[in-house]
Amino acid sequence: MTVKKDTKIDRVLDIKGEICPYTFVKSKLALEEMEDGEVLKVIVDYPPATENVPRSLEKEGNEIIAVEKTGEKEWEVIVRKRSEG
Amino acid sequence: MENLKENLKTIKEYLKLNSEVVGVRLLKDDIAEGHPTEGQFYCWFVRESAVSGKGFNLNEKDFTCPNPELCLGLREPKYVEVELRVKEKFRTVQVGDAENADVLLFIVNPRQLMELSILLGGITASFRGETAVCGEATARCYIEKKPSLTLLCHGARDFSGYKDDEMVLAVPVPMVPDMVKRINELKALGH
Repeated sequence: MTVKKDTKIDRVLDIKGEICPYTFVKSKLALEEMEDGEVLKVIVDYPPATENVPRSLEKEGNEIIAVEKTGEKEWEVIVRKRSEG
Repeated sequence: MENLKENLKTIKEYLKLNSEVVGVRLLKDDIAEGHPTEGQFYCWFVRESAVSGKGFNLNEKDFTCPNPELCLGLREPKYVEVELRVKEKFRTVQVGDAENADVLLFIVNPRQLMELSILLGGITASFRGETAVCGEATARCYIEKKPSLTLLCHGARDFSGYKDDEMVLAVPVPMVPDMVKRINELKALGH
């Protein structure tokens, strides 16, 4: 899953150093402050976050655009806010 | 298991445990009834069951924390492997009833844990403060068929109501009769 080069990132949330549940709690809080359709990039360095951040955001109806390994211990989760209903 | 209820009553009295011992069973089928009205963390359901005696049938939709889905076999990981997870595929996690359970969860304080370690002939522990009640306790006990201790995670302590002096020990159901036998031996010796 690769991010298209023209994907506009509206906000970056760097939560390196955080472990769960704060990885997905902080990601959800960030998305709550964003508009429908905007794109959030979440940077994590905690491997399980690459599972639990996309999953918890997806369950709330958001669109996971990509999960990419960007360093030895760094991943980016790209998500588009989709308001349910 | 024969006399399980009676055996757990004996253990609870010996430990002076105020909460219920929570049974966890992993099922291959969907169960329509017994689901909560609102999603919660798995560790929340466990504590609620221990405090109130309620039982829950839980699937992916019932968990607001995604970790139990992975640790307890409801979902496969997509991006990275998860260390403590049941690799068999299940559809329902039954929390509450000890009868027919795979794993029993004791919510205990340090003194009660000490007593449990005596009854079990020792506990070897490994924990790291993540995927705690779901992974470190339930999944590891299910996989290894041995007691497994967790000192919990931020999710349990900050979002699921666990007190600072509470921790969770998972015990395989087949170990219960020997625990009761040990209690009776200790009682006979005047302890």
